[in-house]
Amino acid sequence: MTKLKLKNTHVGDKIIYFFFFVLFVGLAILFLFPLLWTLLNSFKTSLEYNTNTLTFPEKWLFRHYLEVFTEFQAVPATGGGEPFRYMEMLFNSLWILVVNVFVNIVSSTLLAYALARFRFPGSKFLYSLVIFANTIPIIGAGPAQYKMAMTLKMINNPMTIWLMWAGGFDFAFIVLYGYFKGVSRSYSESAKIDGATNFTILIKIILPQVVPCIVAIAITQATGVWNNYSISMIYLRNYPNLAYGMYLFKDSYFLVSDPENIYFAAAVISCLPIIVLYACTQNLILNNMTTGGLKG
Amino acid sequence: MKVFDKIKKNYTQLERRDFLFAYLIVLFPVLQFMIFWFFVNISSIGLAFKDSMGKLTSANFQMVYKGFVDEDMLGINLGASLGRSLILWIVGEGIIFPITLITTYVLTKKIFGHYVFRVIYYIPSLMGAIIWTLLIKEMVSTKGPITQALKAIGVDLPDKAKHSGLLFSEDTAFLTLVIVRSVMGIVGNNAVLTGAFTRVPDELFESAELDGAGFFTQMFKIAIPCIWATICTLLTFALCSIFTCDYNVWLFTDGTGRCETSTIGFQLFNLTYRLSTGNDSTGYGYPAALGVTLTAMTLPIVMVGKRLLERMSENVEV
Repeated sequence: MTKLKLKNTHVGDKIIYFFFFVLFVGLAILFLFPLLWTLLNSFKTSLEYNTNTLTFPEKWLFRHYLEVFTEFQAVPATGGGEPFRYMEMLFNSLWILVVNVFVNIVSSTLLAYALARFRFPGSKFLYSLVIFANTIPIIGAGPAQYKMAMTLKMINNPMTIWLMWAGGFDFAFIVLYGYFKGVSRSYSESAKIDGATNFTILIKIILPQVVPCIVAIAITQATGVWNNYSISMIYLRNYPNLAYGMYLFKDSYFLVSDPENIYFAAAVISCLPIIVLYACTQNLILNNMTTGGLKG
Repeated sequence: MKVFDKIKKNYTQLERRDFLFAYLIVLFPVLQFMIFWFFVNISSIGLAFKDSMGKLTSANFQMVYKGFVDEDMLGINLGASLGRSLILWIVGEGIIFPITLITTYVLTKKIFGHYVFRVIYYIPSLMGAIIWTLLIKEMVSTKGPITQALKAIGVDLPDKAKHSGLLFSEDTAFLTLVIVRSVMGIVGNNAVLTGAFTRVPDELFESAELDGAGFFTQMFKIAIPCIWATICTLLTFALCSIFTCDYNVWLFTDGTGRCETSTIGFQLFNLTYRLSTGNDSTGYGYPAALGVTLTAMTLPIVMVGKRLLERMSENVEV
């Protein structure tokens, strides 16, 4: 949409936009307050924090940010074993994010491409199956899924757990399916006449055209995976990611001085990369993430 | 063999090659789906009818029934949990979703500061549930700024809330969660709705403006009808979570669901978590039976809702 030109707008509409502007400012304050409060308290001592959470620190203790990397430890939920260090959890967060997003996107992309571009025997049934899986509320499969993961020896096993994340029958499929449908067939048909194989057409002609959509989905999923604590809490307890580590740290306060403040500093560090990533790619995400109706 | 002969007869070599390629690329996603969705769900139904020794039984469903009329084996009343899940869902989808729709539309009009506002509204999602809930917990604790502010403006808090924080009193805990859910919910679906709104051609708004259409006319007569299919899709997904939305009750209450805050979503996550820690007294059967019961309750609602939404889509004129 083009930028709003208030000059040409009715007086009534001007009042409405002003009302919304005030509302947005209020909401922004509401959303920013916890972040600023965290930032402020991350520089205090534990004593200062427990005395008053709203005052400025007497002395700004920047060392808490360094201590996140040197002192932050999370005792395993079982109570035994070596505590996990921040860098270890950061590494776990990174590999879980990369593997999870990659396998999921590959799976969704292949399925969406096949169903959007080819009419093969069974394609209609398969499409209906995806819609069915997305719109039928199957509740409480968690225990059965856990049992399955145990049977397949996937618990605490980075070599196999990715299989669970590689589902293509999800929301990413619905977005990608619509996108593939919208890509013109003329290029791929010309390439086919020139003798290109289906694989070459997919890699060299179609994928470059849907890269913005794939990147938008990947970033959206990345924010979810980065913050997903249940992955580590249930399936990868020996490989805690930062989200789960932050949860465990609450029970490990006795290991450090100024624990609340180090926790706040860790919270700021943990969410900073993802906030920066979103701020930089916001337009890409918002312009490419959409879906049409669900027929099937 | 007959099928292959039929394919050979009805399709050209080029088409057959296309089919082979399509089958090859869908093979992995389909296998994954069969194992981790289809088989898991079938196995979940099977578990619901078995006891810990693998014998057929209806005891798990009896326990679920007992949970609804009295308390389940973890001391939670499922009927009350269901009611709370429903309240959270109605607040989220009935009240907050329309607000999200309107605010997203206004932001796509690119009002002053829209870029900054969008980043700020996304912060709770970007910070993640663990960090966000732990921060909110600190803020509504006894020494937290929200509790302090409420005391300062003279709100008469219950004793438990005064001494231990808003999440420790039956009178304030669930209300706090509803308010947190309402505020956080405003950013939900923002990305998909923005994507849909930005695809509405500018020419439609420009000609409407020339015809003297104001803000509300443009929104309700042009923008919303144009993205109606997207709205229906989001509402269909929302219907699927009618009884299961938990909004991190598990994290807010340290896995206890204390002070009458437990929801069905909380209970389902809690049961899976307890299984994973080996700290369960229920086995697989009870959670599976609870899941089957809830699926049976939700299914007709979703089917009717989806059909109604589809019918509404057909009637929408742009």
